[in-house]
Amino acid sequence: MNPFRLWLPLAITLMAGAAGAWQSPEGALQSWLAVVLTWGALPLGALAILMTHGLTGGRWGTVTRPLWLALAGTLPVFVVAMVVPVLGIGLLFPWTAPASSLPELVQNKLLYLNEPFFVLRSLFYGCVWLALAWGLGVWRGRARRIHAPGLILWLLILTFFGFDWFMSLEPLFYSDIYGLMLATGFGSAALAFGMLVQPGSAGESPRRDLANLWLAVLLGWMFMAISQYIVIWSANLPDEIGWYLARNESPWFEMGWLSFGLFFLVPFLILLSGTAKGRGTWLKTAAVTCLVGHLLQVHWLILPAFGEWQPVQLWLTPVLLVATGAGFLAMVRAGFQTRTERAEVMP
Amino acid sequence: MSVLVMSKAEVGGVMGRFTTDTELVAAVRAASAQGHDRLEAFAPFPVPGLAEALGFQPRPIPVYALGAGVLAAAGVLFLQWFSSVIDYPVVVGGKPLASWPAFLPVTFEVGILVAALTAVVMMLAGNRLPRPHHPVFDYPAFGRASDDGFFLMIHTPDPDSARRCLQGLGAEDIEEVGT
Repeated sequence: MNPFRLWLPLAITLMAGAAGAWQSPEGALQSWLAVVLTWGALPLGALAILMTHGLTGGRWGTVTRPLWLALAGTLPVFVVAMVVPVLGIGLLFPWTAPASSLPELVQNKLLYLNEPFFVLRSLFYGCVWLALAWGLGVWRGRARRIHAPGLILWLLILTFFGFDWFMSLEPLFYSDIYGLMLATGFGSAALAFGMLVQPGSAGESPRRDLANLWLAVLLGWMFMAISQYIVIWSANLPDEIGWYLARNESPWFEMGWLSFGLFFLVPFLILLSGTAKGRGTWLKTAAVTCLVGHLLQVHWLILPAFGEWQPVQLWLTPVLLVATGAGFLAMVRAGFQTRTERAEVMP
Repeated sequence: MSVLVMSKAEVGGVMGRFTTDTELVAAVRAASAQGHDRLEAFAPFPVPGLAEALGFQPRPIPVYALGAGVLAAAGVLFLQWFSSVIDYPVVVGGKPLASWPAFLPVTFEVGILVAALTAVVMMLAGNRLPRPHHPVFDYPAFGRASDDGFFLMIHTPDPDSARRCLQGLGAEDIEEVGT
């Protein structure tokens, strides 16, 4: 592989990050968190796909296995990238302020939301993800039979990861279903990525199975996201509804609808048609809109917590997205090639 | 499980048994090439290519299911809007009378229910089900249709030609079956 594909994005990321941090550490950290979670969702989703295939079997997963392995192979980079926000939790999370200045409801949560415990938990999540990837044979030839307990653990860890890294940015807010929404959202994004990269070589019938699976996971996401909205909207309690009120203002309102349309509605309408499910171009169109919607959605979940946009984010977020995205793609591509060759050597 | 794929039927006919799925598909092709157009095939599992060989045309069930689902969802949405805005307006929790999020669950559920029911009813009608009895049940070897037998039935007013055709194709247990 051309090493520039990896080093150039890394250099640009570091330079942009340093320049942004010099201009405004908070703004840079917020952008970094949203960007890292956008790409990190894909390897996390790939873990679940690998384990699901381990449970069910089927050609859809056998022919696409090198791709999911390559995606999950980027997990160490995601874990390392999350070290930066862990170091900056004092700047990101409102609950790190002195306890006396916090609302009573948040004061009651401080037994869980405190810095040492938070860092320990984050460390634990990273270890579990890496252990799952290792056990699934991401770096070695053979997968161990950890699929059923692994999938349960994956969902639990993702739920707590959502509590910590998404929800506690707005510590008044609480929603049970948030973890399930993240799980289905990350799974859909990973499947969309697979649809975009793989279809040509996968063959007609496994590709159709994969598209059906993708449609099911997308519907699951829609169910979770709308359930959360309807429950919170109906109850209209001050602590919870504030989360949606913050997202009811421009530009988050428009961004929320746009991401719903791109992430769910367009792929859903395309996947409804049996003919479109058999055509590579339609599937790729749906995959691209779904991934753009995923990007918007992660930013929509994270950034409204911080109130006003910082001026630095106007240039930093796009630069970071493109640079880290290019590096991510180069890694996945290299991992995909080596794993495809390995799969051909030992069937 | 026995899988039943029909083309045109409802005349008496002659039935024969084949031992493999490929023989059955080849026999269907050969019989229709000899001019028999009312064929029925029975196999213990879905045989790839069998439906195509029998000249099966997929019916646009998905389109009807979608249409019925959308219509039902629209109707139920209207019903909720009408009852809570015009017919019996009650302010709940200080929300507007026409609060669309509250209407979503019922709209979604009824839309899915009607689409699924439409598909199921059309599937049953297309397979001419429910049907408590079928003449092939009187054919002694037919039990093997759920085990290892692949059957071809030729509906025809001229049983002798059908019998000759099946014999030519190498079928076993050839027998006449009534309507």
